[in-house]
Amino acid sequence: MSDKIIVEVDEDLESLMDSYLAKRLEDIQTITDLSAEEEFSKIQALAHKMKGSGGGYGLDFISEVGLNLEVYAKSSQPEPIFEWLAKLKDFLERLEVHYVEEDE
Amino acid sequence: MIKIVYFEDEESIAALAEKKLQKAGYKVLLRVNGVNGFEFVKEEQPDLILLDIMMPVVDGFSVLAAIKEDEETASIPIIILSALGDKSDVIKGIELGADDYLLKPFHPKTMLQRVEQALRSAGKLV
Repeated sequence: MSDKIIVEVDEDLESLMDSYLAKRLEDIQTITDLSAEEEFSKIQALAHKMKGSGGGYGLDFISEVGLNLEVYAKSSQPEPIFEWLAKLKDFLERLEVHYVEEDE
Repeated sequence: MIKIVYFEDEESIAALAEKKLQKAGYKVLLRVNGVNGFEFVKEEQPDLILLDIMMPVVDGFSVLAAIKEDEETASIPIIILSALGDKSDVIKGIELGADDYLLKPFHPKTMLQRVEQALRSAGKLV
């Protein structure tokens, strides 16, 4: 069994986190489908949003995935897109968020 | 209460920023795209605008240009919040009149600091 990935996140984001993570799971399926259809510009747009949001939620890896998906969508390369989607899936499955109080 | 208009089509970023801004005591008005963005700003006369660039139909640069061209809205400070990190995008935003450019992903605390800084510079916050 793989190790858990524990990330500490601002407690203010607790009410938003489940929805945020659920949408990233949806992104995996959506981008997989779009790759099969070679709709790379649509993948690029979704990846751009992922890149822009992950770090704000304390999940820098999601921004890294978004950045890479955006790059590979721009150059129409499905193979590395699938590889990064697999990494994202693994990350989400192993992720355990601990909510902490942040200094104001 | 200080009023901020935030243009953002990505729901998760809008929700995050809205939560943090409201907690800091700001009133936040969200717009999910740039359609009629200038008219909305002219009507609401906010103290500050947070502006995404890549929005459907009407992008942030168009909204920015319209706001800065009108004397009733030109002095409202604008911070661009965008994942477009190319130098040319940043330069374009500043040339069109944006006061600041914060690259996504941003830490909420950094966003609040930039908001406070822009409001102070505009004399809206003591």
